[in-house]
Amino acid sequence: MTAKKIENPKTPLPEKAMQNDYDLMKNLLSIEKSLQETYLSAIQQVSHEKLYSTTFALLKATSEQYRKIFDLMFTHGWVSLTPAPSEEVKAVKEEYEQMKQQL
Amino acid sequence: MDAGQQQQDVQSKMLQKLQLQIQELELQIQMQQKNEQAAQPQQSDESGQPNQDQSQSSSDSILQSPEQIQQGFTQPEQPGQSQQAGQQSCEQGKQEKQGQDQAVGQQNDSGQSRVNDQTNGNPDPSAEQSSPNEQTNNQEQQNDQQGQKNCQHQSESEQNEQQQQQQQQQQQQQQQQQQQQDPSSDDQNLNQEKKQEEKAGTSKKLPLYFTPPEIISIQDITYLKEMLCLNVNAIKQYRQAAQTCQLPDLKNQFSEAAQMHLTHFNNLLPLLNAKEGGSS
Repeated sequence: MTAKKIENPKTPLPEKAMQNDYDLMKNLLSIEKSLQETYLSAIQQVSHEKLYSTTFALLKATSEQYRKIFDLMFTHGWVSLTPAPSEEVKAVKEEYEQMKQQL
Repeated sequence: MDAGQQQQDVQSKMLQKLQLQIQELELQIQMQQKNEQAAQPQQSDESGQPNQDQSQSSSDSILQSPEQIQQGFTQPEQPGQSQQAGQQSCEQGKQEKQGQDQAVGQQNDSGQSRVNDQTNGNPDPSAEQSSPNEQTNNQEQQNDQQGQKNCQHQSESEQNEQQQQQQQQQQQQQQQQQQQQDPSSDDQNLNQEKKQEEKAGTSKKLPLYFTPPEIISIQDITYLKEMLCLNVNAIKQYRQAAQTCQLPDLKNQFSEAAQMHLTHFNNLLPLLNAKEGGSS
């Protein structure tokens, strides 16, 4: 039994050789993702406190921007979510509850 | 009375002759000293004060001699002072013996020191060559003076000259030994100075940093360059997307994102201006 995808109805876009809005958003999300990776590695290896705090603030703002664009894509139905099977979720939950008792 | 006047005239003539001879001897001694200084200019420059002292002492000994000679020749005229003069002559004889003994001891010392110099392998040929010539000159002068007159005072002055020459030789040898020892001592001093500098360098405590100083390290500059580049690229992409996109909500969002990345770029750029790679 396949899980139903959780998604909105897709907004119709003209299929042209040029980049449509969906392509633009996918491209911009990749740019935001590479920026966040750069910010994260800079936070881990930057020298002094001022650089760290500035980079951390930029990472948070960029991540929030990324999230906004991702939400927009979801609202327009260009991103679909596939729920995990409940049996697998129950199995993982039981396994880590046993490990929690050992702690 | 005529006989007494003739005796006085004869004695006065003898005194004048003796004084002239003494002046000649003084000039000869001064010439010898000048020759010695010219033969050994370096050592005389290094030991300028001792030579001057010796020249003063020799001149003192020479100046004393005419008075003694006059006293010796005034003995017959003043019988009252003859006993004192005789006592002085006895004392002078004792002093001469003592001076001879000292001279013998100094000669032995100088001989030993010469042997030591030869064993060290660094003899000073100028000093050793000049001393025999000086001694021969002194012997010639002694013969001439003894041929002219047999006076004990001249022998005293000659002995004094020999003693002075021996003293000069000893001083020269000491200077040579010091010069031989100087390089090693200089090396030791240099080594000690180096050690002290090393100790000072190690003792200088480096400043302790409780937090990293506000500098731009090599990793910082690479990351900053990458972040600025990506932000510039993001601004351009968002502006182009805002112009080309058709949906209004996307256009607003893209313009907002472009403005955000512009502010990020403006925040990153001043970090490079803070302290441009300063050492602290």
